[in-house]
Amino acid sequence: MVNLVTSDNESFTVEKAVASRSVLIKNMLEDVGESDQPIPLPNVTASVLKKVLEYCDHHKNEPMPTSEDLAAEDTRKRTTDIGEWDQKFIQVDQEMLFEIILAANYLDIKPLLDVGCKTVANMIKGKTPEEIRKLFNIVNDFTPEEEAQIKKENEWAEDR
Amino acid sequence: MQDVALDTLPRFITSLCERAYYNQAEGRAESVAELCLHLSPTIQFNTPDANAAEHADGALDALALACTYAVSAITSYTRILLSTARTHRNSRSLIYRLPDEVLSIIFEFTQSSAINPACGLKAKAPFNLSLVSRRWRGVALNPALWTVIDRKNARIANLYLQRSGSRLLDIDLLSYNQSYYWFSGSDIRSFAFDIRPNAALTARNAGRVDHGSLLTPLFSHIERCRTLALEGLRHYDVVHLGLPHAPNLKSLRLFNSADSFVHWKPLHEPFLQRPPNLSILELYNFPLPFTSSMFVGLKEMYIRTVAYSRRTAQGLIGILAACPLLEKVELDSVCLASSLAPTPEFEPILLPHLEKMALLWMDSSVVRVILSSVIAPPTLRLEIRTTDNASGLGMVSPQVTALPNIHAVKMLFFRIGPGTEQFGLTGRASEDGVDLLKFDFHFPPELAAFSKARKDVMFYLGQDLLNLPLHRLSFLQIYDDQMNGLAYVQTIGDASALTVLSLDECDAPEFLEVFIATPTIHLYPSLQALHLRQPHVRKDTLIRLVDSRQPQLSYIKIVQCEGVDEDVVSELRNVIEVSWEK
Repeated sequence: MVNLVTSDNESFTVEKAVASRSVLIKNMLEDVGESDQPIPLPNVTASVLKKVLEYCDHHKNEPMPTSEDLAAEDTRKRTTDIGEWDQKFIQVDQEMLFEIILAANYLDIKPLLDVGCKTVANMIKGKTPEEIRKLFNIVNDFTPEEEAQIKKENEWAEDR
Repeated sequence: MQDVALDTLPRFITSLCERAYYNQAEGRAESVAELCLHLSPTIQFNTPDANAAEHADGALDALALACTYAVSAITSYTRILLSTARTHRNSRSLIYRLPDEVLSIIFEFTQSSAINPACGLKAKAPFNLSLVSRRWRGVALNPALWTVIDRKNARIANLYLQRSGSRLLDIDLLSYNQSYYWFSGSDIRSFAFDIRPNAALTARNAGRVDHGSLLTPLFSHIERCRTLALEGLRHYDVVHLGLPHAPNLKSLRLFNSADSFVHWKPLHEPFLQRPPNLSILELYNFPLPFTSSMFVGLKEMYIRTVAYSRRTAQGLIGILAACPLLEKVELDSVCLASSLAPTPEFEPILLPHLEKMALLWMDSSVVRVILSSVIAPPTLRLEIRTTDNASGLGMVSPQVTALPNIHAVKMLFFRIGPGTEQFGLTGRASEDGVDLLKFDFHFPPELAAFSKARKDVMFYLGQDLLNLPLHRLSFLQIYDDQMNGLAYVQTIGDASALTVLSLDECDAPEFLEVFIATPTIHLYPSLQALHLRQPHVRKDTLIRLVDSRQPQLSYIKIVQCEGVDEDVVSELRNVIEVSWEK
């Protein structure tokens, strides 16, 4: 078993196979060898780690992505299909969604990072810049000069 | 005098800002003119008494110039200030917590969507992404995001070519309309692309396709091209396509328009120079030479609606033989010379990597030649779809046992329909496995005797399937008039390894009659389970069947079976396990 300690000082004891879905933790375990020492995760809160571990537990028996999978990254990014369980898992509010993505990035859990990124990508697809801004609470911060330059570049898109 | 401008203007601006904040805090509305009245500047001209007026004029000119400059600077400054303030405000948005490298991954995923015709370019990634905010624009200008040129963005291809830097390109100018090949000639005109505004307008007004003006700029980057798909080509384009050498090209898809069948023209080589080492080749109404170095490295080949009027099946076999690495091949509506010479004996073609072969709407004689020539792994997924008469089917079906994957088939599913003019056969290696065999026969409407044709099909197939080690047989919606007991016995009468038999929605009392064991007829010695779903049966048949069963038959599942009631089920349960759903 592996003991993980979150930024808000909560401990999680999980199977090694579950924790090792994180390449970061897997490498740490390999570096320190067999040890009872808790592993601190200063960038992850308890609520987020709980979700991340739920994902890792569900996928613990699946093969880890190989270097060939990563080499085929170009192809991988062409599809935004998400498995049924993953879709339900990632149905969370925006704040939790981004926290999960950040945690997956920090913990180096590529499949989870992909699920999060695909979810955001699916939210973005087919939306105009105005709609995207509204969705993510962003304001247009281009200066008028920049806007004029962009408009000039993109004049072909204006009526399409 | 410069001192005056440098001293006075900043003080004035500071006072103006303070006044504006004060007014806002007090909730007062004060026009700019009113505001300035309270802030009349005091100007000290430290000039000598002599020529005082002359000095004052010079000072006024300098002050006017300084004020003009100040207005312009303030305007510009306020715009930057507001933009910076908005950027700062955006940093509080949840999505801004994601670092650029993660945002970049998200942006790459946004490219995966198929083109929605209703979705304008402004809503299409990465174009829309680059217009959201300054930070998003910075990430969205990653060259990797600008490598796909499709029908939607073809008109601004230059922008993509420029922003993609030196990355490999995927040029995909297909219409994404599933029924593209049924388009009339006039509809084909909507495929016109042109990245020159005036030329596009001219071409559109003239109702013609100006592929040259689209393709020329793209072809100047052909060395960066990884995939190329062109649709709407017409005869002129086909003959004059003349692709330059494309060393990185792996996938080539050419769709000639339906308004110009070119079967009477010489076969055309699309490359002017040395052909690339292609992995994927897809052609629609675009005949190619039967011999080309283009075929050597192919892993996927799709040839659709091509008429080789002066060629025979041998030429087609020659193409397959030239592709030793083939994994997927689909030949759809490939027409060859109608008067075939007697089929010669071809050398077997070894395709050890072949995973899937589809022969769709082809002449039965050609299908037969291909099936008898290709040697593929037992895991091959074979699909045949044809419209033919029974004699044509007879030419196909005797080859069934020669198929490389037929002995891997353990489960066979027969069905009539969805219309009465179709007959289907599906074969799998296991319950949840992929379909290894998919035969789909569509009887032509003018064929009067559907019933006879179907019996003939069953007869032909039955002869071939007789000795296969089948574990499961399933019949769906097959009736006595479509396959009588005799045809049934001929078809699968000697399936000695059969353990499960399913009759779904079959009006098949005769099937069950022949199933009743007698001293002379004894079908399915290994049968363990019988599944009946919505069949029409006679209950006495069912009871006699169970009474005469072999000991291995230990289970009957009956679902919504007309004529079966509780009494019958009770009687059956005395001798066998029965699952019954009313």
